[in-house]
Amino acid sequence: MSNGSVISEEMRSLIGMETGQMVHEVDKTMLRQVAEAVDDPDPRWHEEAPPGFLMTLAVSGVGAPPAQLFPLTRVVDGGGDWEFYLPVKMGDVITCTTRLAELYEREGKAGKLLFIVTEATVVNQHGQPVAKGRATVINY
Amino acid sequence: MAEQVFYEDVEEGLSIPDLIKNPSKRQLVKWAAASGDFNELHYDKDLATSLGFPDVILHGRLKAAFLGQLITDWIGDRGNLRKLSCSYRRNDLPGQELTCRGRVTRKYVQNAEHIVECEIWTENPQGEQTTPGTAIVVLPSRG
Repeated sequence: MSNGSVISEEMRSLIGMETGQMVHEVDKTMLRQVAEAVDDPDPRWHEEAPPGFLMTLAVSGVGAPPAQLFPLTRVVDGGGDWEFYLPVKMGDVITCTTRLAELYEREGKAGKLLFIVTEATVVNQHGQPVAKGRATVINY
Repeated sequence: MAEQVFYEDVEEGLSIPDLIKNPSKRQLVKWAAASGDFNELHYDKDLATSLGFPDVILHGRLKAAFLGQLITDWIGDRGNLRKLSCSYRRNDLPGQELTCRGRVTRKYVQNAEHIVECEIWTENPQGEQTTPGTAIVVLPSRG
């Protein structure tokens, strides 16, 4: 096991696969919750989603591949990369689709680190892409 | 809110006005609810200390959202945030001041759009960059 990979064939076969899809109806309450959580008082966010809204998407397990396949149980967020194409406004219905983009491993101080990269595409009710996100989560 | 900033107003090396955040544990719980990120590391101190952390730590994505606010506060209603990237290099704790900072690294016109690139980061009270990243924005032009 010492130089064995933590990435099994089964895990590798998931790369590129869709891992989840979630529909969000963007309403006033949702926008207020995000703006309050960020503590951003700009009144613009009463009607429009702040950048942080995109950062709230694709968590809660939606973007994550099946946990039982992964041998390392501790999780830490590594970083993110977001592209904004169109504003998300109150009343929009957006669909966030995630897929497993990449898996790679590194040797850490206390053992293997597994990097799980998920990609999320966000489309509005008109079928227009509004945003894209890429997030790296590290298992150890 | 500050006055609208225009493409002509910025040059390489210009500092973006600081955004100072004072995240509390309550704010972490609000973010957990808003984002659905219920990892206990962000609200259960017993768990956090058992994993070797001094206290619960800020969500990385909350810090990304702070950096988003840094940019939207600066570029105003007529500016557009196009891209934001950051990595969560160091942990930050609630109850400690977190300063969001940025600096213009490049400006250019492409496809008739006035584009400005910035480096951005969060800074802890020790002056360490905890969440370095980059942002690309489009600003209105006076031309």
